[in-house]
This record gives sequence, C-alpha cells and structure tokens, in this order.
Amino acid sequence: MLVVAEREQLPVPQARAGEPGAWDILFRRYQLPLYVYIFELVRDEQTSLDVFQETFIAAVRHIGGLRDDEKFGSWLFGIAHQKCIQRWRKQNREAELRDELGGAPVEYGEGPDDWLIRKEQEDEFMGMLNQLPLPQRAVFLLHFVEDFSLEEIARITEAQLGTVKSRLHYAKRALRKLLEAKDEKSA
Amino acid sequence: MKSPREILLERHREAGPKLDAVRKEVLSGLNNEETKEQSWLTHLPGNIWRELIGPYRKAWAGFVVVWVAIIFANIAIRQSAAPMAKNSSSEMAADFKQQQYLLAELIGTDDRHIAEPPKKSTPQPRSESVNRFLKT
Repeated sequence: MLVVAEREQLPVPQARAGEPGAWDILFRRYQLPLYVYIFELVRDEQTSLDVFQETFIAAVRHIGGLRDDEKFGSWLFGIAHQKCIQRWRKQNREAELRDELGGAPVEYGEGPDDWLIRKEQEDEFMGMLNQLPLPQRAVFLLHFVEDFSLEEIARITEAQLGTVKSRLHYAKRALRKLLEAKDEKSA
Repeated sequence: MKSPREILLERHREAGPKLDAVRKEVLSGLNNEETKEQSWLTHLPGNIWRELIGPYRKAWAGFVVVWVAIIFANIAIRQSAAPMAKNSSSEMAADFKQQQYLLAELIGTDDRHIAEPPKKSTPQPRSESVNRFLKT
C-alpha cells in the first residue's frame, strides 16, 4: 500500500521553527525513498550518500523558502534532483540528459499499483531501470517510489508537464516490452 | 508479486544503518547550531577574540607595532620641544623689554612710565572708603 506523502500530517511548521525532533520525524519518513531515488540516478553508493546528506543539510537551511507545507515531500525530492543533476553535469554527461522524445501527450491511465512484477523478474526490472536515460528514470522513480502526481514531478524535475508525461510513457513502454519479452521466453 | 516500489525499497533497505548515521549527523549539526546561538552572548569575549582577532593575528600585531612606534615618536618629540619652548619665551620677553626701552628713547619719554605696570586696585570694604573720604 502506497503512502501518499502530501496527505500525511508532517511536522513541517515545527521543523521550520528549528525543532530537531520535527526534523527527525521528517527525515525518518523520507530517508529511504529519497536514497533510492538518488542511488538509482547516480548509481554509486558513496556519491549517493553524499548527495543524500547534502539534501538534508540544504533542506534544513532553506526550509524558510518552502511556501506550501504540504509539498514538503516534492520539495525535498526537488532538492535531491537538482543535486543529482549537478553531479551529472560535473561528470560531463549532459548529453544523456537531452532526451528528445517528442512532446505528444500520451495516455496515462495506470497507477504505480497496477504494476506488479514477479520475483524472477526483479533483476530484469532493475537492469531495465538502469538502462533508461536519466530523465526517464527520474520520472519513473518519482512516480513509482513516492507516487508523486505528474504536476509534482514536473515541478521536481523542472520540466514541462507534457514532457513528464512523455518520459513516463516511454519508460513504462520500455519496461513493459522487457517484461513481455521475458514472458514470451519463459512461455 | 511486488510493485516496483516494494522492489526498489527492499533492494536498498540494507543502506538503512548508513542513512540513520547520516540523519543523526545532520541533526547533531542542527543541535550544535542552536547551542552555538544560545551561548554566543555568554562567550562573547572568547568569540570576539576567536572571530575578530584570531584569524587576523598578523594584521593586529602590525597595528600594535605601528601604534607603539607612533607613541614613542610622540613622546620623543615632546621631550625635545619642551626646553626649546621655555628658552624661546624668556628670550622673547627680554627682546620685548629692549624694544620698549628703545622706543622710549626715541620718543623721549620717561622710561619709568612705560615700564611701570598699572596699579591693581584691591577691593576694600565700603565703610573704609567712606572714612577715607571724610578724613579728606
């Protein structure tokens, strides 16, 4: 069962007031999904831990800039996303960021819970995920790990809504192809 | 069957202790910042020393040397100037007196009139002045 971050009662005002206990609750809530997101983007443990720490520190420093307390989750993931992108740029891998998928809006009917993967397909799924271009991977992870809405994903990744839809569509299509191919082989 | 979310979270669950450590580190930093702010006033002299003087020790030492040099130079100048001033004032008075005599000789007046300073009138009681008037 997915927990929708934006509907939770999170102690954001207390955190803004500088209460360490409130920050502890917030960090505990997001630490694992945030780390998953970071790791699956940068694919290196030490770098992931560094970005993870930098994200938490930046959150503490810039909480004053968060206007809507209910958007804390997407705001936090937005910080992490920017830090991952900065790392990528440092490594001169900007080319991979430029995915031209066409802006055509696509059908978006399935939710994260509609996707179920058998145990023997798990490794294939992870392998496929790693093969996706970074922008598609980012959108896919935000959608599947935290169930952010398309609007929130657009805000986090600083992309147009149509672009987010396209990216998610292509990521899902690639995943489905892979899973279907696997099914055919096993059949 | 698992959802992608479950698979992803499960794969990274073993990173939990490391994430806990990072979280605690960030939180301890937050606590330290709070205590720092609270103790700022109580440790003001130490803070001033550490933040204003400590990092710029060489610059402050330079200032001290310059100021000491200025003070010494000032004292030395005063000491050498004091006897000169005394000498010059007495010489000037003598010169002035001589000028007066010369002027008196030229004009032909009695030098006593010139040399004598005006008499100071000392205040007396009113009764004494009345008595003196009656006697005359």
